[in-house]
Amino acid sequence: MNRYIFFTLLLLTHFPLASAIDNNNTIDNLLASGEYDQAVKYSAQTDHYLAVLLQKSRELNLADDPTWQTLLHYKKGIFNGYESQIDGSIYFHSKNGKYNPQAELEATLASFFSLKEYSKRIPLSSQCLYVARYYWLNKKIDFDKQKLPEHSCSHFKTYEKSLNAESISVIFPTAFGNSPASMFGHTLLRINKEGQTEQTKMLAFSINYAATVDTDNNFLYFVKGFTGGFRGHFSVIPYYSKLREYSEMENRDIWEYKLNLSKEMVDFIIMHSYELEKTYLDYYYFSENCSYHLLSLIEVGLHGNSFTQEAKSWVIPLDTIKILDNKAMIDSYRYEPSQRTKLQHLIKDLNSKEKKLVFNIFKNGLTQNYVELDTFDINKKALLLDIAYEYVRYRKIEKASEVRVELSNREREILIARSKLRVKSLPVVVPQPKASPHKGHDTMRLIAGFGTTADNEYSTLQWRGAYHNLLDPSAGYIDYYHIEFFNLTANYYHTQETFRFERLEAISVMSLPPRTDFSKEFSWHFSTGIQNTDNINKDYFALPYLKGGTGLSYQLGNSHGNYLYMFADGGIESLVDLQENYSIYGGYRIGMLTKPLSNWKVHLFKTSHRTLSGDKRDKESLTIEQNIAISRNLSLKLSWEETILNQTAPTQNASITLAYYH
Amino acid sequence: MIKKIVMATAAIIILAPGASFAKGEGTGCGLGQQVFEGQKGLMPHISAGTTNGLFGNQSFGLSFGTLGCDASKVVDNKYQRDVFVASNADTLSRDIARGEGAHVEALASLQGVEEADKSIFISALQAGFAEIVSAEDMVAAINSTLAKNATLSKYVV
Repeated sequence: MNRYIFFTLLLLTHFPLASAIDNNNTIDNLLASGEYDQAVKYSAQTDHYLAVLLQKSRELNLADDPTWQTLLHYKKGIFNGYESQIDGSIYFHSKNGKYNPQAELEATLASFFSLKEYSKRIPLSSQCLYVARYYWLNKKIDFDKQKLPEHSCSHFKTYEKSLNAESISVIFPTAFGNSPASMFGHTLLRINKEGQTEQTKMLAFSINYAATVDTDNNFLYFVKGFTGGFRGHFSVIPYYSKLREYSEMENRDIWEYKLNLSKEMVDFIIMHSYELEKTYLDYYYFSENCSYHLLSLIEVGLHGNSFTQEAKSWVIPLDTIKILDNKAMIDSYRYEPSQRTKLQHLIKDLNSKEKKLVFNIFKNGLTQNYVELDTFDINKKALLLDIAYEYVRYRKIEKASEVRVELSNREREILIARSKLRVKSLPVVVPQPKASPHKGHDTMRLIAGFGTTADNEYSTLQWRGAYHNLLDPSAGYIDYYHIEFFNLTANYYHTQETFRFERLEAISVMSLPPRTDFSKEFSWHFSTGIQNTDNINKDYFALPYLKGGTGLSYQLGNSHGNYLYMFADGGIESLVDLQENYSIYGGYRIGMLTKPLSNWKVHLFKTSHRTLSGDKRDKESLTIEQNIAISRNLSLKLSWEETILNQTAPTQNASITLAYYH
Repeated sequence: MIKKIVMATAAIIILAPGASFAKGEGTGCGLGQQVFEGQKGLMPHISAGTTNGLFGNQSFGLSFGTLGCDASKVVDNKYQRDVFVASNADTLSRDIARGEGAHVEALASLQGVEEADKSIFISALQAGFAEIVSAEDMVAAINSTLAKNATLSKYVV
């Protein structure tokens, strides 16, 4: 019996030795088949080169390195755990890679030994897909190319060569259409090529992060967009395609911000963009949107200088540009007007005879207008044909398809006639607005101050989440758009010694595009929220309201920033302590927004409401409010209002406050 | 971010007869690949007005040899020029007619036109505009305009 035990024990002690001989083979098999976690685990007992690399990476503590963290897009969770914001499983080589930087780093090193391709659609080895990781790890550890052969990665080389990157610009298309919400804009990157000029920059590639929307249903679009129901993808396409969409189709002015990056940083960002393109991230409209992830891509170029940390819980494209500005990342910037802006600029210098001709060409075609056109000299003729073409193109956008075909024929006719003149047009130069959007006031606003009524005094505090009020300093904003989210007001009444929330305005939007003979858009406004009762002796902060209106706006005089407008209004409000406890009203509003000095705005308006249904709440009021900009993020606000409710005695309310933008 | 207004065209239909893209041998792959695959009559395709134009959901770095093409073709200037003209037919036409503009400058760059010859290039195209804009194949029409000019014939590509 002892003999058997002895021999069994002898045999068992030889097994480890036997398996040691097989180990490198086993590891190679694991690597070849993509079992990286296993390969990492078993390499510890061997002399496989992987074990050497793992050892070095641990000594250098690479998993904690900010560059590794930003390459993998790890964010620290609440309990000090990590989670990568990348959601595609292709991005991770370790089963726990999404949550474990160390495991992912080790599995990545293992994956470099493998020739295994990711899929038919992505026939690349790890070295050739994760080029940024390979580059950085190689730099840190210095791989022995005999023991870990370097793959040739021709597809990445083609990508790099084609992009031919010299510098990177952040492209910011601003608002369009009659849509204040589009003021939030969008950001994308343009990879400027070596030897690029202002004229050829459209040939550069752009990198864009956007949600892949798989639904036509508006409600689902809304819900999925906010809750990460869509996948976000990075895409790399020629900039001219994006330019066409923004500048020509949507008529958005564009601001370009060239970034301050070394060539090495640029190259590293390009490598990382190649990695990101193959995967996806869950798209969150508020927090992880287009601008946020553009920052998360650029971040790698800065060896861990974290931008995304600076982002608030909601991300506005303009704020991301300000973050870059605050970190001295903006080398220079430039304004590129949209086709519509250029057209407007040309038309305003025409006299009425010339304007009429342009309009007639649009209406009736060229043939009927040849005689009139011939009364002008050749250069003027060329200019008028240029403008007529642009005008037809601009008006065509809103037309139905049958009319569009006719208008396209008209466009061709105009261009043929224009080309026959054989003269060159002058480039259209629109003066760059004095303030770039990134130099405007910050988007959150805190107001504090005092107010007084006939029989009371109060202190007031207001906080607004985003974005721009009609009365806020216009520099960098479009001055006839107003959009605010989450505006909370609270007052403390000195006589009663009571504190009350007065109003929480969830959203307030107003658009006052001035009507000209070039563009005839309607003005409109809308707001909703909850408010407290009028009676300050009671605290009932639960009265929802909804109001809106449509109307017209005109520019006053010749300089910017002065408007006269009128609205037909309507609204519904919930009330308390009355008969019906609601009131529906209709009425009008006439107002004037002026800018006597560049930093002084005055808004004067009269409102008249008549009760249509429910409790009687007739109201006449006259308001004068002013904003004096002290600095970019500090303003003095003055307000005076007289109200007559239900034909009783008028009451006045005046206040003086300081606004701090942050 | 904001839901795009799907615009069925912003005027690519200026070439109403419809320039079709002659599918030659060795047309590159990746960018615009879906366009070239047996497509006759680019115009209806473009005017479908997807936000990425000709490119749809394609993305350069994802362009691969799966369709049996050579990814390095995409670096090719001729290929880039072909895609550029197809994507920008209307805006290019406008700049040609005006005798100036970023689109015609970009075209000159893609056709390898030297700085000294640029002005002649743009004038020649402006002179030949009526033929170019009515042609089925805009690239071929541009090339034949260049071929007629002693200085510019070397730029035919």
